Amino acid sequence: MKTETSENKLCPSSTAHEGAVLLGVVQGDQTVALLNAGLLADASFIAKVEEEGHPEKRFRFADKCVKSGCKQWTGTKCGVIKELAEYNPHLDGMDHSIPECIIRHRCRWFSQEGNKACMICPYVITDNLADI
Amino acid sequence: MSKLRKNTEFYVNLNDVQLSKESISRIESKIQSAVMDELLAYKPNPEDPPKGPIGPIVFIPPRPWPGLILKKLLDRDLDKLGSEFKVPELINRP
Repeated sequence: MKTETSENKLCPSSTAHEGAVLLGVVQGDQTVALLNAGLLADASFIAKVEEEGHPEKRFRFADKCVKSGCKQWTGTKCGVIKELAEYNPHLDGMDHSIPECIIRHRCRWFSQEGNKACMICPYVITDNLADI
Repeated sequence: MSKLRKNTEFYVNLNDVQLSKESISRIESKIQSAVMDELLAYKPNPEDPPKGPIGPIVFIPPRPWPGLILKKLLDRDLDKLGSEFKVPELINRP
């Protein structure tokens, strides 16, 4: 029987590149509307979105969690959702509905923090650096 | 064939149509392409009122988010960095 391993988890805040899944769209109120269909970012989409610049300010992408290949990896966990979870202790044990998500069953953040990650997720914009 | 629209969900029921796998694949591809193009053109208006709380209050640390991780450098990035830019790890490598 095939089991879900930590080796094939997906990062829900990946960068824009060909083959990534388009996970959500940043709205005017700076929340992310998660898509309920798996749309693959193809070369044409990436070329167009790169041309406009800062794709990770406008969209959320998901792709394979590369663990130690990512500077956010703490050695055992994803440091991004770890920090956000620690910053939001009031969410612990909160029974709140969570948005539909196409990657939840393979999501690194969900596997690490459970529903709490899903409550935080729509507020995360991958690139929140101010425009230079 | 029947069509159904529910808010922004669109359905076309083709169950009674004998379509080849290739035809289904082309339809899927064109739907994906159309949706992606529209999302690409989508520009949220920051003046739009929030749709209402989509969840509990969540706090994001008030510092630049270190999200960009393995981003491939584009030509314009290299232009900004200048021709003297070297990847630090490679400089001291024998």
